[in-house]
Amino acid sequence: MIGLDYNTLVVAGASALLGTAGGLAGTLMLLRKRALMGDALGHATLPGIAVAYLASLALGGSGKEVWALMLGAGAGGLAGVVGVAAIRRIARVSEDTAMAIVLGSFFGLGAALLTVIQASPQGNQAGLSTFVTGHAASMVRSDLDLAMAVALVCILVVLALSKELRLLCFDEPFAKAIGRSTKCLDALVLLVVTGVVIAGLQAVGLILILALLVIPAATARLLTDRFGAMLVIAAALGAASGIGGTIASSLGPSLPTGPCIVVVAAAIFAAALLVAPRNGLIARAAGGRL
Amino acid sequence: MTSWTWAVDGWIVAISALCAVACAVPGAFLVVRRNAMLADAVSHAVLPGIALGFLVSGTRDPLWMFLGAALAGVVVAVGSGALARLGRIDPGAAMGITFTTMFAIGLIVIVQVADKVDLDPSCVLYGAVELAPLDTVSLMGASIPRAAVVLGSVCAANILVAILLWKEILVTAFDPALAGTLGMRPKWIEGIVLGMAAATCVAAFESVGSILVVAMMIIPAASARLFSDRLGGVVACAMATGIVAAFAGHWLASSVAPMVVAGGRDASTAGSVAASLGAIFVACLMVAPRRGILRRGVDRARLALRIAREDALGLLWRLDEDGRRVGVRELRDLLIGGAQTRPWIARIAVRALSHDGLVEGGSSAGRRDAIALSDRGRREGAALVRSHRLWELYLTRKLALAPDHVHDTAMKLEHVTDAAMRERLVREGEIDLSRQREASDPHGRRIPDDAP
Repeated sequence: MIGLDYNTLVVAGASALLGTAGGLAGTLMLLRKRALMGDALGHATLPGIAVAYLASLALGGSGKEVWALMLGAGAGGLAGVVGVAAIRRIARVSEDTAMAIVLGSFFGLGAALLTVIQASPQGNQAGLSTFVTGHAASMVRSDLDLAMAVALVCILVVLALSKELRLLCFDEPFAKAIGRSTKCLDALVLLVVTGVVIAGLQAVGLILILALLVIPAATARLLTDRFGAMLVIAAALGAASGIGGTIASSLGPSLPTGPCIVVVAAAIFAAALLVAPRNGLIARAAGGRL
Repeated sequence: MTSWTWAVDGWIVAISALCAVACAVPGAFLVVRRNAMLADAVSHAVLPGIALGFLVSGTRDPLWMFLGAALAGVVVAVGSGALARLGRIDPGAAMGITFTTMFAIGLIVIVQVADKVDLDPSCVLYGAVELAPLDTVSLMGASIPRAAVVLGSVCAANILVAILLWKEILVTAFDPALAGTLGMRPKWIEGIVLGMAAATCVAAFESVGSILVVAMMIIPAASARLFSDRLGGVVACAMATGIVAAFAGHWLASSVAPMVVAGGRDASTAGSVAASLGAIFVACLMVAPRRGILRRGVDRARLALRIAREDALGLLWRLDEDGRRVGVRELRDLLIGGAQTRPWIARIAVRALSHDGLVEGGSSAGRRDAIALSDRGRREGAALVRSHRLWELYLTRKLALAPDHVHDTAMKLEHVTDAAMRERLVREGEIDLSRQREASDPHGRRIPDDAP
């Protein structure tokens, strides 16, 4: 029997909300052909977290103020995004190279700072390394609130700007031509993604957060060709993965929740890849379109 | 703070440098092929690969870990490509799905077996190059760290493959279609280089860690790309960059980091090397010969200076035409106000005029004294004003622009118009050559002659 105690409910609720937000934000990133930006952003949060910890200590805090660490993570992630854009523009390299440069150097800096913190006398490390691979079981009410806020923002942004975002995703030149600021829209989308990454640090960690941004969106893409439907399906699948993963992890004695959520999402993707009505492998093989 | 000993620190630097050299060939290829994130995907596959190796063998034998990681690396490299084709999804997304799923499975397996064997994810992620010199094997009588032997072999193998298949790799990197028509089998070559990348990632995870190998592979190549357009140059520069970063990174980690954080110990060498690589890339971005920030700043300032200098000459010539004279300060203010020149550029431009002997008077002694064009200055000023007025005439006559709409355009074009172009404008503008002296621009101003 699944133990539906308070803690499990908190974890399941936060994971579901996170999945919803990841599905919505991920759909926009996937259609903008920047699916891997979430990865660069996620890895870039690590030095931000380490610096926030050091700053908190220097200012007389305990280094465990979660809001400060989250703020640092957000600043690190945004610095990474700005870095990718700047490198692309100045060095004229492709986006994937810029992302790999930011990802490698930021994560390296974070790892170096983390080892220094770990070895310092005060440094019981404040559980900083749990942000790398996530530790959903330690989520508390405030994490649920954060996930709820991020999910709400995602839903509001998508509802309020659906027309503009649709244009941005499918016909950027036209969006520009009719006077929409595609730069502002892109920046807004990246801000939302940063929010999702921060909210996901506790649950799945900065490496696996990419899965929540990519897998539900890619699954939805297999199931529909319509923008609105894709958003709804991706959000629903994200939520389902969150709840499914939490349930799956409670089935075994030591199944980590974050990875379970990812595996459930991947299983749904694999199923959709096979049986999706028009784009699935079976349907395409039957129609001779493989 | 630990003191630097070559027997230990030398090996640490050497191992990191070997890793950098081994990464150079596949790294340069991935950067040129715009497939840099594949290094990230493959390196994330190492963790599940190791877990797989343990599941199959039940031991922590390095050979099994190696085999598992290599298999997982190939699965990611080949699998994400196949998924993108089969599922018709974005290649980046396919990569993201494949490696996050494998990483998640790897984490689950590691937690499951945690009580039987100590597989620390952070060790796989960040590596432990600091401990590498302790794990030695004896080779030809000398005891050499195992990591150095492993990375040295991979390094030699990569360089050997690069030498044997250089032409094929070169053509495939820049133009796969051409490689195909030349019968070079670009798919195979790409597969071989991706295999090289996977093998290098796997060999490097023990020492520099699976995530940081991304930095080793991509950043030196991207930095080198700023300096060279030739694949050979990129590979060579990338090797040098990687070696410098290996040295700088370890020095920072072992000598500087402990001083920064009170009572701290050494920082992770691998992390510091990756961070140093980032800093080196930023430095390269500053000083790169053609695309560098400094170079572009200098070019822009030079262009602005030339334009300001020419604007000043034209201004003085027109004032002269009206029989007016101005001083240095007034000229500067006219440039700043009228031609929208930045103040510091205007200051240098005005000074350059007297330095180049284009004006007389107005020396630093008498700033309010009126300055006058020298003969050479008058000739150059006349040529500029001639270009300007010819363009105005051409634009009104041939492009039917209103006379009050042509000044700004002519203002830009006068700076890129030489004598041959002015000849052409006279002909195209159907200006009567015999009555050229009386020719005037749309505003009734006489068009000055070209100096003989």
